[in-house]
Amino acid sequence: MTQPIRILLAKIGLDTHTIGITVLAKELRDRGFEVIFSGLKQTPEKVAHAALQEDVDVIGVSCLSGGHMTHLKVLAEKMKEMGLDDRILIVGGVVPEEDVEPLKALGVDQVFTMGANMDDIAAFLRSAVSV
Amino acid sequence: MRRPIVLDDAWRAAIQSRDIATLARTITAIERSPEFLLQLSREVFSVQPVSSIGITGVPGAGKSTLLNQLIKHYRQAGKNIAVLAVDPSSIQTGGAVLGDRLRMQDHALDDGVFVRSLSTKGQLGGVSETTFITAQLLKFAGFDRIFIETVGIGQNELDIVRVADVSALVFIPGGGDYVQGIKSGVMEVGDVFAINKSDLDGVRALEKVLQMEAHDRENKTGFVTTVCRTNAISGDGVAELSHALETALQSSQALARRASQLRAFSELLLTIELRQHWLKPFVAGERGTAFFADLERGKTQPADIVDAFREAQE
Repeated sequence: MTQPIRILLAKIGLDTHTIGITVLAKELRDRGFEVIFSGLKQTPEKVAHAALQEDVDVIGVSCLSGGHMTHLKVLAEKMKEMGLDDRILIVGGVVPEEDVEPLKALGVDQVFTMGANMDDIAAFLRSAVSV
Repeated sequence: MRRPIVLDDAWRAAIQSRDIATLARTITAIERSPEFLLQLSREVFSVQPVSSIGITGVPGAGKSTLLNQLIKHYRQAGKNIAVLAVDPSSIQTGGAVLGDRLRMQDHALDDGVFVRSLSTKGQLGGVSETTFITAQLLKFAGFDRIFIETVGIGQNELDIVRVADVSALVFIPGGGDYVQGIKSGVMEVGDVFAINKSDLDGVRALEKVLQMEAHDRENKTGFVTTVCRTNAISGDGVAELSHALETALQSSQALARRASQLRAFSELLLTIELRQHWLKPFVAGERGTAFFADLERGKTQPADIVDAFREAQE
Protein backbone atom coordinates (compact mmCIF):
# COMPACT_ATOMS: atom_id res chain seq x y z
CA MET A 1 0.00 0.00 0.00
CA THR A 2 1.33 3.42 -0.85
CA GLN A 3 1.71 5.79 2.09
CA PRO A 4 -0.37 8.95 2.10
CA ILE A 5 1.41 12.16 1.24
CA ARG A 6 1.26 14.64 4.15
CA ILE A 7 0.46 18.23 3.26
CA LEU A 8 0.12 21.27 5.52
CA LEU A 9 -2.43 23.80 4.29
CA ALA A 10 -2.28 27.32 5.66
CA LYS A 11 -3.29 30.88 5.05
CA ILE A 12 -0.87 33.62 6.02
CA GLY A 13 -1.72 37.13 7.20
CA LEU A 14 -5.02 38.96 7.14
CA ASP A 15 -6.83 36.88 4.56
CA THR A 16 -10.11 35.21 5.44
CA HIS A 17 -11.04 33.81 2.01
CA THR A 18 -11.36 30.21 3.17
CA ILE A 19 -13.41 28.52 0.46
CA GLY A 20 -10.48 27.66 -1.79
CA ILE A 21 -8.35 26.12 0.93
CA THR A 22 -11.34 24.22 2.40
CA VAL A 23 -12.30 22.76 -0.98
CA LEU A 24 -8.66 21.81 -1.59
CA ALA A 25 -8.47 20.09 1.83
CA LYS A 26 -11.57 18.02 1.07
CA GLU A 27 -10.51 17.17 -2.47
CA LEU A 28 -7.01 16.10 -1.42
CA ARG A 29 -8.52 14.05 1.42
CA ASP A 30 -10.70 12.26 -1.14
CA ARG A 31 -7.59 11.57 -3.22
CA GLY A 32 -5.84 9.86 -0.30
CA PHE A 33 -3.75 12.71 1.10
CA GLU A 34 -3.28 13.47 4.79
CA VAL A 35 -4.12 17.14 5.09
CA ILE A 36 -3.06 19.06 8.18
CA PHE A 37 -5.39 22.02 8.22
CA SER A 38 -3.66 24.73 10.17
CA GLY A 39 -6.12 27.49 9.57
CA LEU A 40 -6.12 31.21 9.03
CA LYS A 41 -4.05 34.23 10.00
CA GLN A 42 -0.81 32.30 10.29
CA THR A 43 2.63 33.86 10.20
CA PRO A 44 5.39 32.38 8.00
CA GLU A 45 7.21 31.40 11.23
CA LYS A 46 4.19 29.46 12.52
CA VAL A 47 3.76 27.69 9.18
CA ALA A 48 7.42 26.63 9.12
CA HIS A 49 7.27 25.42 12.75
CA ALA A 50 4.11 23.43 12.09
CA ALA A 51 5.67 21.90 8.96
CA LEU A 52 8.73 20.85 10.96
CA GLN A 53 6.72 19.21 13.77
CA GLU A 54 4.29 17.55 11.37
CA ASP A 55 7.12 16.45 9.05
CA VAL A 56 4.98 17.17 6.01
CA ASP A 57 6.03 16.39 2.46
CA VAL A 58 4.30 19.48 1.11
CA ILE A 59 3.41 22.97 2.34
CA GLY A 60 0.49 24.61 0.55
CA VAL A 61 -0.19 28.31 1.07
CA SER A 62 -3.45 29.85 -0.07
CA CYS A 63 -3.30 33.57 -0.67
CA LEU A 64 -6.07 35.80 -1.94
CA SER A 65 -4.99 39.00 -0.26
CA GLY A 66 -2.25 40.10 -2.64
CA GLY A 67 0.42 39.53 0.01
CA HIS A 68 1.90 36.44 -1.61
CA MET A 69 5.29 37.89 -2.58
CA THR A 70 5.97 39.21 0.94
CA HIS A 71 4.69 36.15 2.80
CA LEU A 72 6.35 33.58 0.56
CA LYS A 73 9.70 35.34 0.69
CA VAL A 74 9.74 35.10 4.49
CA LEU A 75 8.36 31.53 4.47
CA ALA A 76 10.98 30.32 1.97
CA GLU A 77 13.72 31.88 4.14
CA LYS A 78 12.33 30.24 7.29
CA MET A 79 12.09 26.88 5.52
CA LYS A 80 15.72 27.13 4.48
CA GLU A 81 16.78 28.15 7.99
CA MET A 82 14.95 25.16 9.48
CA GLY A 83 16.20 22.61 6.96
CA LEU A 84 12.83 22.32 5.25
CA ASP A 85 13.96 23.40 1.79
CA ASP A 86 13.73 19.79 0.60
CA ARG A 87 9.92 19.97 0.98
CA ILE A 88 7.56 20.86 -1.85
CA LEU A 89 6.09 24.36 -1.57
CA ILE A 90 2.97 25.26 -3.54
CA VAL A 91 0.92 28.43 -3.68
CA GLY A 92 -2.70 28.83 -4.67
CA GLY A 93 -5.17 31.68 -4.95
CA VAL A 94 -5.16 35.03 -6.69
CA VAL A 95 -1.67 35.35 -8.10
CA PRO A 96 -1.05 37.58 -11.14
CA GLU A 97 0.70 35.89 -14.07
CA GLU A 98 3.75 38.11 -13.74
CA ASP A 99 4.34 36.98 -10.14
CA VAL A 100 4.59 33.28 -10.96
CA GLU A 101 8.23 33.28 -12.08
CA PRO A 102 9.40 35.52 -9.20
CA LEU A 103 7.62 33.15 -6.75
CA LYS A 104 9.42 30.18 -8.30
CA ALA A 105 12.68 32.07 -7.97
CA LEU A 106 11.98 32.31 -4.22
CA GLY A 107 11.67 28.51 -4.00
CA VAL A 108 7.99 27.91 -4.74
CA ASP A 109 7.67 24.69 -6.74
CA GLN A 110 4.32 25.38 -8.37
CA VAL A 111 1.60 28.02 -8.45
CA PHE A 112 -2.07 27.11 -8.95
CA THR A 113 -4.27 30.05 -9.79
CA MET A 114 -8.00 30.50 -10.37
CA GLY A 115 -9.62 27.58 -12.17
CA ALA A 116 -6.85 25.11 -11.34
CA ASN A 117 -7.95 21.50 -11.69
CA MET A 118 -7.91 19.34 -8.55
CA ASP A 119 -6.65 16.29 -10.44
CA ASP A 120 -3.77 18.37 -11.82
CA ILE A 121 -2.82 19.50 -8.30
CA ALA A 122 -2.92 15.93 -6.97
CA ALA A 123 -0.97 14.62 -9.98
CA PHE A 124 1.66 17.33 -9.55
CA LEU A 125 2.09 16.46 -5.87
CA ARG A 126 2.30 12.72 -6.56
CA SER A 127 5.04 13.25 -9.12
CA ALA A 128 6.92 15.76 -6.96
CA VAL A 129 6.90 13.72 -3.74
CA SER A 130 8.43 10.28 -3.37
CA VAL A 131 7.01 8.75 -0.19
CA MET B 1 13.73 11.08 -1.18
CA ARG B 2 14.04 11.41 2.61
CA ARG B 3 17.16 10.14 4.33
CA PRO B 4 16.46 6.92 6.25
CA ILE B 5 16.77 7.11 10.04
CA VAL B 6 19.60 5.21 11.66
CA LEU B 7 19.07 4.45 15.34
CA ASP B 8 22.61 5.26 16.44
CA ASP B 9 24.18 7.37 19.20
CA ALA B 10 23.73 10.56 17.19
CA TRP B 11 20.02 9.76 16.85
CA ARG B 12 19.69 9.05 20.59
CA ALA B 13 21.44 12.32 21.46
CA ALA B 14 19.21 14.26 19.07
CA ILE B 15 16.01 12.71 20.43
CA GLN B 16 16.98 13.18 24.05
CA SER B 17 17.74 16.84 23.43
CA ARG B 18 14.27 17.00 21.86
CA ASP B 19 15.54 17.97 18.41
CA ILE B 20 12.25 18.65 16.66
CA ALA B 21 13.34 17.68 13.14
CA THR B 22 14.67 14.29 14.31
CA LEU B 23 11.58 13.62 16.42
CA ALA B 24 9.26 14.54 13.57
CA ARG B 25 11.11 12.41 11.02
CA THR B 26 11.20 9.47 13.42
CA ILE B 27 7.42 9.62 13.88
CA THR B 28 6.97 9.58 10.11
CA ALA B 29 9.23 6.53 9.84
CA ILE B 30 7.16 4.73 12.50
CA GLU B 31 4.03 5.35 10.45
CA ARG B 32 5.57 4.35 7.15
CA SER B 33 7.54 1.23 8.08
CA PRO B 34 6.44 -1.66 10.34
CA GLU B 35 10.04 -2.89 10.39
CA PHE B 36 11.20 0.49 11.71
CA LEU B 37 8.46 0.42 14.35
CA LEU B 38 9.88 -2.87 15.65
CA GLN B 39 13.48 -1.59 15.63
CA LEU B 40 12.46 1.55 17.48
CA SER B 41 10.60 -0.53 20.06
CA ARG B 42 13.95 -1.99 21.08
CA GLU B 43 15.29 1.51 21.82
CA VAL B 44 12.72 3.58 23.66
CA PHE B 45 11.59 1.62 26.69
CA SER B 46 14.73 2.29 28.74
CA VAL B 47 13.34 5.38 30.45
CA GLN B 48 11.74 6.30 33.73
CA PRO B 49 7.97 6.24 33.38
CA VAL B 50 6.44 9.49 32.13
CA SER B 51 2.74 10.06 32.60
CA SER B 52 0.45 10.11 29.61
CA ILE B 53 -2.99 11.68 29.69
CA GLY B 54 -5.82 10.94 27.27
CA ILE B 55 -8.41 13.46 26.17
CA THR B 56 -11.48 11.88 24.66
CA GLY B 57 -15.13 12.73 24.00
CA VAL B 58 -17.70 13.38 21.30
CA PRO B 59 -16.84 15.34 18.12
CA GLY B 60 -16.98 19.05 18.75
CA ALA B 61 -16.90 18.74 22.55
CA GLY B 62 -13.90 21.05 22.61
CA LYS B 63 -11.15 18.52 23.24
CA SER B 64 -8.46 20.34 21.25
CA THR B 65 -9.45 23.75 22.60
CA LEU B 66 -9.44 22.38 26.14
CA LEU B 67 -6.03 20.90 25.46
CA ASN B 68 -4.86 24.32 24.31
CA GLN B 69 -5.79 25.59 27.80
CA LEU B 70 -4.27 22.60 29.59
CA ILE B 71 -0.98 23.13 27.75
CA LYS B 72 -0.99 26.75 28.92
CA HIS B 73 -1.52 25.58 32.49
CA TYR B 74 1.35 23.07 32.37
CA ARG B 75 3.66 25.52 30.60
CA GLN B 76 3.15 28.01 33.43
CA ALA B 77 4.45 25.28 35.74
CA GLY B 78 7.51 24.94 33.49
CA LYS B 79 6.61 21.52 32.05
CA ASN B 80 7.54 20.44 28.53
CA ILE B 81 4.50 19.07 26.75
CA ALA B 82 3.99 16.76 23.79
CA VAL B 83 0.62 16.23 22.15
CA LEU B 84 -0.50 13.50 19.78
CA ALA B 85 -3.74 14.56 18.16
CA VAL B 86 -5.61 11.83 16.30
CA ASP B 87 -8.25 12.44 13.64
CA PRO B 88 -10.05 9.89 11.46
CA SER B 89 -8.86 8.63 8.08
CA SER B 90 -11.16 7.73 5.20
CA ILE B 91 -11.90 4.03 4.81
CA GLN B 92 -12.20 4.56 1.07
CA THR B 93 -9.08 6.54 0.21
CA GLY B 94 -6.92 6.52 3.34
CA GLY B 95 -6.97 10.32 3.16
CA ALA B 96 -7.67 12.55 6.16
CA VAL B 97 -8.18 16.12 7.27
CA LEU B 98 -6.28 16.62 10.51
CA GLY B 99 -7.63 19.75 12.17
CA ASP B 100 -6.74 19.58 15.86
CA ARG B 101 -3.54 21.57 15.60
CA LEU B 102 -5.52 24.60 14.52
CA ARG B 103 -7.08 24.87 18.02
CA MET B 104 -3.71 24.88 19.74
CA GLN B 105 -2.30 27.96 18.05
CA ASP B 106 -1.35 29.68 21.31
CA HIS B 107 1.71 27.46 21.49
CA ALA B 108 2.72 27.49 17.82
CA LEU B 109 6.13 29.06 18.44
CA ASP B 110 6.86 27.58 21.87
CA ASP B 111 9.80 25.16 21.79
CA GLY B 112 8.49 23.47 24.95
CA VAL B 113 5.39 22.25 23.14
CA PHE B 114 5.44 19.59 20.43
CA VAL B 115 2.20 18.85 18.59
CA ARG B 116 1.85 16.07 16.06
CA SER B 117 -1.32 15.20 14.12
CA LEU B 118 -1.92 11.52 13.40
CA SER B 119 -4.58 9.88 11.27
CA THR B 120 -6.20 6.67 12.53
CA LYS B 121 -4.98 4.80 9.40
CA GLY B 122 -8.21 2.83 9.37
CA GLN B 123 -8.22 1.85 13.07
CA LEU B 124 -11.60 2.09 14.79
CA GLY B 125 -10.73 2.37 18.50
CA GLY B 126 -10.16 6.13 18.59
CA VAL B 127 -6.38 6.14 18.12
CA SER B 128 -3.99 4.71 15.51
CA GLU B 129 -1.86 1.58 15.82
CA THR B 130 1.29 3.67 16.09
CA THR B 131 0.00 5.98 18.83
CA PHE B 132 1.39 4.02 21.79
CA ILE B 133 4.93 3.64 20.44
CA THR B 134 4.92 7.28 19.30
CA ALA B 135 3.95 8.33 22.84
CA GLN B 136 6.76 6.12 24.15
CA LEU B 137 9.20 7.88 21.80
CA LEU B 138 8.08 11.22 23.25
CA LYS B 139 8.64 9.86 26.76
CA PHE B 140 12.11 8.75 25.70
CA ALA B 141 12.68 12.29 24.41
CA GLY B 142 12.08 13.59 27.92
CA PHE B 143 8.81 15.47 27.68
CA ASP B 144 7.23 15.86 31.12
CA ARG B 145 3.69 15.03 30.11
CA ILE B 146 2.29 13.36 26.99
CA PHE B 147 -1.25 14.22 25.97
CA ILE B 148 -3.13 12.01 23.53
CA GLU B 149 -6.29 13.35 21.97
CA THR B 150 -8.53 10.72 20.39
CA VAL B 151 -10.80 11.17 17.42
CA GLY B 152 -14.27 12.39 18.33
CA ILE B 153 -15.82 9.28 19.82
CA GLY B 154 -19.24 7.71 20.25
CA GLN B 155 -20.08 4.91 22.66
CA ASN B 156 -17.49 2.32 21.89
CA GLU B 157 -14.03 3.75 21.14
CA LEU B 158 -12.06 2.52 24.12
CA ASP B 159 -8.48 2.16 22.90
CA ILE B 160 -7.39 5.27 24.77
CA VAL B 161 -6.92 3.10 27.89
CA ARG B 162 -4.29 1.13 25.96
CA VAL B 163 -2.21 4.24 25.33
CA ALA B 164 -2.85 6.70 28.19
CA ASP B 165 -2.43 6.22 31.95
CA VAL B 166 -5.49 8.30 32.77
CA SER B 167 -8.10 10.01 30.62
CA ALA B 168 -10.45 12.92 30.77
CA LEU B 169 -13.80 12.16 29.15
CA VAL B 170 -15.14 15.44 27.80
CA PHE B 171 -18.91 16.02 27.70
CA ILE B 172 -21.11 18.87 26.54
CA PRO B 173 -24.48 19.71 28.06
CA GLY B 174 -27.64 18.56 26.30
CA GLY B 175 -26.43 15.11 25.31
CA GLY B 176 -29.03 12.73 26.69
CA ASP B 177 -30.58 11.44 29.90
CA TYR B 178 -29.33 9.20 32.71
CA VAL B 179 -29.74 6.00 30.68
CA GLN B 180 -26.81 7.09 28.51
CA GLY B 181 -24.80 7.26 31.70
CA ILE B 182 -25.42 3.69 32.81
CA LYS B 183 -24.40 1.98 29.58
CA SER B 184 -21.10 0.14 29.44
CA GLY B 185 -18.52 1.33 26.99
CA VAL B 186 -17.30 4.84 26.82
CA MET B 187 -18.10 5.92 30.40
CA GLU B 188 -15.51 3.40 31.58
CA VAL B 189 -12.61 5.16 29.89
CA GLY B 190 -13.07 8.42 31.81
CA ASP B 191 -11.01 8.77 34.98
CA VAL B 192 -12.08 12.39 35.15
CA PHE B 193 -15.34 13.73 33.71
CA ALA B 194 -15.10 17.21 32.21
CA ILE B 195 -18.27 19.07 31.31
CA ASN B 196 -17.05 21.54 28.70
CA LYS B 197 -18.99 24.51 27.29
CA SER B 198 -20.29 24.75 30.86
CA ASP B 199 -21.97 28.08 30.13
CA LEU B 200 -24.64 26.24 28.10
CA ASP B 201 -28.03 25.14 29.42
CA GLY B 202 -28.32 21.66 30.88
CA VAL B 203 -25.09 21.62 32.89
CA ARG B 204 -26.74 20.78 36.19
CA ALA B 205 -28.70 17.83 34.73
CA LEU B 206 -25.58 16.35 33.15
CA GLU B 207 -23.55 16.97 36.28
CA LYS B 208 -26.07 14.98 38.33
CA VAL B 209 -25.85 11.99 35.98
CA LEU B 210 -22.06 12.04 36.04
CA GLN B 211 -21.88 12.43 39.81
CA MET B 212 -24.22 9.46 40.19
CA GLU B 213 -21.85 7.38 38.05
CA ALA B 214 -18.85 8.69 39.99
CA HIS B 215 -20.38 7.84 43.38
CA ASP B 216 -21.35 4.37 42.23
CA ARG B 217 -17.86 3.74 40.93
CA GLU B 218 -16.29 4.97 44.16
CA ASN B 219 -18.51 2.66 46.20
CA LYS B 220 -17.55 -0.33 44.11
CA THR B 221 -13.86 0.26 43.42
CA GLY B 222 -12.72 2.99 45.78
CA PHE B 223 -11.51 5.16 42.89
CA VAL B 224 -12.52 8.78 42.98
CA THR B 225 -13.83 10.19 39.70
CA THR B 226 -13.88 13.97 39.72
CA VAL B 227 -16.56 15.81 37.78
CA CYS B 228 -15.29 19.21 36.56
CA ARG B 229 -17.02 22.05 34.79
CA THR B 230 -14.77 23.62 32.17
CA ASN B 231 -14.90 26.40 29.62
CA ALA B 232 -12.18 25.91 27.02
CA ILE B 233 -12.59 29.43 25.65
CA SER B 234 -12.24 31.32 28.93
CA GLY B 235 -10.06 28.73 30.65
CA ASP B 236 -12.44 28.44 33.62
CA GLY B 237 -12.11 25.11 35.42
CA VAL B 238 -8.89 24.11 33.65
CA ALA B 239 -6.77 24.30 36.82
CA GLU B 240 -9.30 22.00 38.55
CA LEU B 241 -9.25 19.60 35.60
CA SER B 242 -5.46 19.46 35.65
CA HIS B 243 -5.49 18.87 39.42
CA ALA B 244 -7.99 16.02 39.02
CA LEU B 245 -5.89 14.42 36.27
CA GLU B 246 -2.70 14.65 38.34
CA THR B 247 -4.50 13.09 41.31
CA ALA B 248 -5.79 10.27 39.12
CA LEU B 249 -2.22 9.67 37.88
CA GLN B 250 -1.22 8.83 41.44
CA SER B 251 -3.83 6.10 41.75
CA SER B 252 -3.04 2.40 41.65
CA GLN B 253 -5.38 2.18 38.68
CA ALA B 254 -3.01 4.31 36.59
CA LEU B 255 -0.13 2.00 37.49
CA ALA B 256 -2.13 -1.09 36.61
CA ARG B 257 -3.08 0.45 33.31
CA ARG B 258 0.54 1.13 32.46
CA ALA B 259 1.34 -2.55 32.94
CA SER B 260 -1.58 -3.62 30.76
CA GLN B 261 -0.45 -1.19 28.04
CA LEU B 262 2.85 -3.05 27.73
CA ARG B 263 0.96 -6.28 27.31
CA ALA B 264 -1.33 -4.76 24.67
CA PHE B 265 1.68 -3.33 22.82
CA SER B 266 3.49 -6.69 22.85
CA GLU B 267 0.42 -8.27 21.31
CA LEU B 268 0.29 -5.49 18.74
CA LEU B 269 3.91 -6.19 17.72
CA LEU B 270 2.98 -9.80 17.23
CA THR B 271 -0.09 -8.81 15.19
CA ILE B 272 2.06 -6.62 12.96
CA GLU B 273 4.63 -9.39 12.55
CA LEU B 274 1.95 -11.89 11.54
CA ARG B 275 0.37 -9.41 9.17
CA GLN B 276 3.64 -8.44 7.49
CA HIS B 277 5.19 -11.89 7.18
CA TRP B 278 2.22 -14.24 6.95
CA LEU B 279 -1.03 -12.54 6.10
CA LYS B 280 0.09 -10.01 3.48
CA PRO B 281 2.33 -12.41 1.51
CA PHE B 282 -0.48 -14.98 1.50
CA VAL B 283 -3.19 -12.55 0.36
CA ALA B 284 -0.99 -11.04 -2.35
CA GLY B 285 0.52 -14.40 -3.32
CA GLU B 286 -0.57 -17.06 -5.80
CA ARG B 287 -2.99 -18.95 -3.52
CA GLY B 288 -4.54 -15.79 -2.08
CA THR B 289 -5.07 -14.28 -5.51
CA ALA B 290 -6.58 -17.52 -6.78
CA PHE B 291 -8.91 -17.72 -3.77
CA PHE B 292 -10.26 -14.20 -4.24
CA ALA B 293 -10.73 -14.77 -7.96
CA ASP B 294 -12.75 -17.92 -7.19
CA LEU B 295 -14.73 -16.10 -4.50
CA GLU B 296 -15.72 -13.41 -6.97
CA ARG B 297 -16.94 -16.04 -9.46
CA GLY B 298 -18.92 -17.81 -6.73
CA LYS B 299 -16.74 -20.92 -6.96
CA THR B 300 -15.70 -20.85 -3.33
CA GLN B 301 -16.92 -19.55 0.01
CA PRO B 302 -15.24 -17.31 2.62
CA ALA B 303 -14.35 -20.13 5.02
CA ASP B 304 -12.24 -21.80 2.31
CA ILE B 305 -9.62 -19.11 2.79
CA VAL B 306 -8.65 -20.74 6.07
CA ASP B 307 -8.00 -24.06 4.35
CA ALA B 308 -6.03 -22.35 1.60
CA PHE B 309 -3.96 -20.53 4.23
CA ARG B 310 -3.30 -23.73 6.19
CA GLU B 311 -2.29 -25.55 3.01
CA ALA B 312 0.05 -22.72 2.08
CA GLN B 313 1.84 -23.05 5.45
CA GLU B 314 2.42 -26.80 5.05
